[in-house]
Amino acid sequence: MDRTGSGILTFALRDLVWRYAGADFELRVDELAARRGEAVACIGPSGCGKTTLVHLIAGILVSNNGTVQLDGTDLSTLNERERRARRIRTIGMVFQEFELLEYLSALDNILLPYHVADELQLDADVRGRARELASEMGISDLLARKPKKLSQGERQRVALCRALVTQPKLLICDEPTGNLDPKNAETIVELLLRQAREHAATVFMVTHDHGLLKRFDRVVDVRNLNGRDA
Amino acid sequence: MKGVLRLSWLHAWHHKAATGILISCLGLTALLPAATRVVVERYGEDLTARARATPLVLGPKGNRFDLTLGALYFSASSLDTVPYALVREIAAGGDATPIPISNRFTARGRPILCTSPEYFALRGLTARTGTPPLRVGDAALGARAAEQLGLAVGDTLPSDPTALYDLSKPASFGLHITGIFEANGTADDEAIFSDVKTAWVLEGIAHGHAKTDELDNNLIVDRSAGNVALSGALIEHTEATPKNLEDFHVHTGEDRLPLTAIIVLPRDDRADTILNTGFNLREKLQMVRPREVIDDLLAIVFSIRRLIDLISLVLGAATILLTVLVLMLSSKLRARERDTLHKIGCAPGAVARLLGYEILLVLGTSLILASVGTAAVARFAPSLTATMR
Repeated sequence: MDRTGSGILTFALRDLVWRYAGADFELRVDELAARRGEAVACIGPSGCGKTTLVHLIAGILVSNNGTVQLDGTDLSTLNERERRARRIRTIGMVFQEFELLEYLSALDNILLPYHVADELQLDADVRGRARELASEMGISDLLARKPKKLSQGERQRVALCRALVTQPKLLICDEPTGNLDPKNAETIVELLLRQAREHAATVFMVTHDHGLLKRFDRVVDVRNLNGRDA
Repeated sequence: MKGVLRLSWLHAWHHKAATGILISCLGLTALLPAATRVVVERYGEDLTARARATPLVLGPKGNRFDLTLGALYFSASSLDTVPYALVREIAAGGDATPIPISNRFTARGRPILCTSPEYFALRGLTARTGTPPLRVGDAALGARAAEQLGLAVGDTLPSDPTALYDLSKPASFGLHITGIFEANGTADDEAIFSDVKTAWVLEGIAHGHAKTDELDNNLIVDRSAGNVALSGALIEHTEATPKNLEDFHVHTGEDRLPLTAIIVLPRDDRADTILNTGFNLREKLQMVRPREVIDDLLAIVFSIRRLIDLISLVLGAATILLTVLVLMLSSKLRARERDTLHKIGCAPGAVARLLGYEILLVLGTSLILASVGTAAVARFAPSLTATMR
């Protein structure tokens, strides 16, 4: 297991190069790591590779150049099935567009990882945890509603509960406040960071909202990852 | 319901209108050939069973299908009649039992089958209440006919007039309901049965009126030795009662009285062959074996069924292709959902199962729908085949 200083690393990228086939785009990361419980914000202009970086950390994309370690394991040594299994156990993901399933109630959306992954067992404890999370997010009265009947802010709270219900070690958020008004954005980030702290989860959040950066332990600019890690 | 199966069910339920339409299309596509097969097979069994129980039918030359269906199912035909003398001739020969059939008249749209008591024995018709028709003007009803007409023993059922505004044609004649038969699940249940002599009253050949010595002199046009000519203003009896029963008579020899057909029950195979050959040699007559006629008819029906099967196959293929298109479009619309599931760590197999279960759900429900529909058709096929007659 990789350790640096006083903390255990949740993820660590080294000498990473990523190119999309047939495109000029190239993402280079000399070194990027986050300690357990650390909240890292990621900024950078559109098209600089923030989402690609998120996908590389999550093991959705795998590069043969360089290493990505997640919770001490080099993802390139795992096959697709193992990476997927590790992802659903270790990582909670929050997206800009919430990505809730329209045909499921808020509660079923929260429990989605347990519905679709054989390795996760849906039991009374999990249901209780889902309801508790919903209560902490202030949406306990909305659990029976479908996403269409929820406001934008409420949808993102549901998405946040879905990411947290598996008790992940790493919370990856790809512009989760992009579709929210400033007040809702503040609230969501506050809830997100509080929950992460309570569960000792590392947060890696991509954002364009510079007003939120002060809430994070560290800020990295994707443009500076090549040779000059922030 | 758990896991991915639950998600598939929830997705199908969320899009219930679209799912319902898809299930209906597939269900109906499967139902059409299955139901056609059931109806045709039931129709074939029905026709064959009745034809097997009817060895020979004698009638006028002409369309053999008309003759057979008229004798078996009382359907109206444009064939000529045969004289009652043939009944006597066959009976006198001693090789067979003849059963006269006359079905040229109706009452409230239902055929009146005028025949002899042997017919009831042939078809196993026994009276549930009352008695079979025994004399002129008596009638017994098939079980369904009694139920649908709402008649009981003791009621009177007027025959349908043949020509309402033609005074030269016989008027409606009141039939006294004397009995109701047990149902036997055949065309007999739909019919009204009467004595063969009633047919001649309905034809206008036999009639009843007051005795000539009791009539007003104004109604007697001419009186000579052995003959009395009556005025056309004489009103004939419109129903037979115990009091006027003896007034009914014919002015011609009974041998010339018309019949639609004669069912012939030969004593043995030899008699069957002799009768069949002998009558078919006669210029104006034909004798048919209903089993052979019905087999020929069913061959036509089955060839039509094959055509329907072929059409169903083409329709089925088109429906399946359209269903595949719908599923492909649905899958395309759900690309984002699949992407989300992939990103959160869902196995590709689970995504495939999500779609697969939904397809199975639609196909399974369609098959259940088609099976229930086919069972319903099978349940009601007897009445369906009755309406096809």
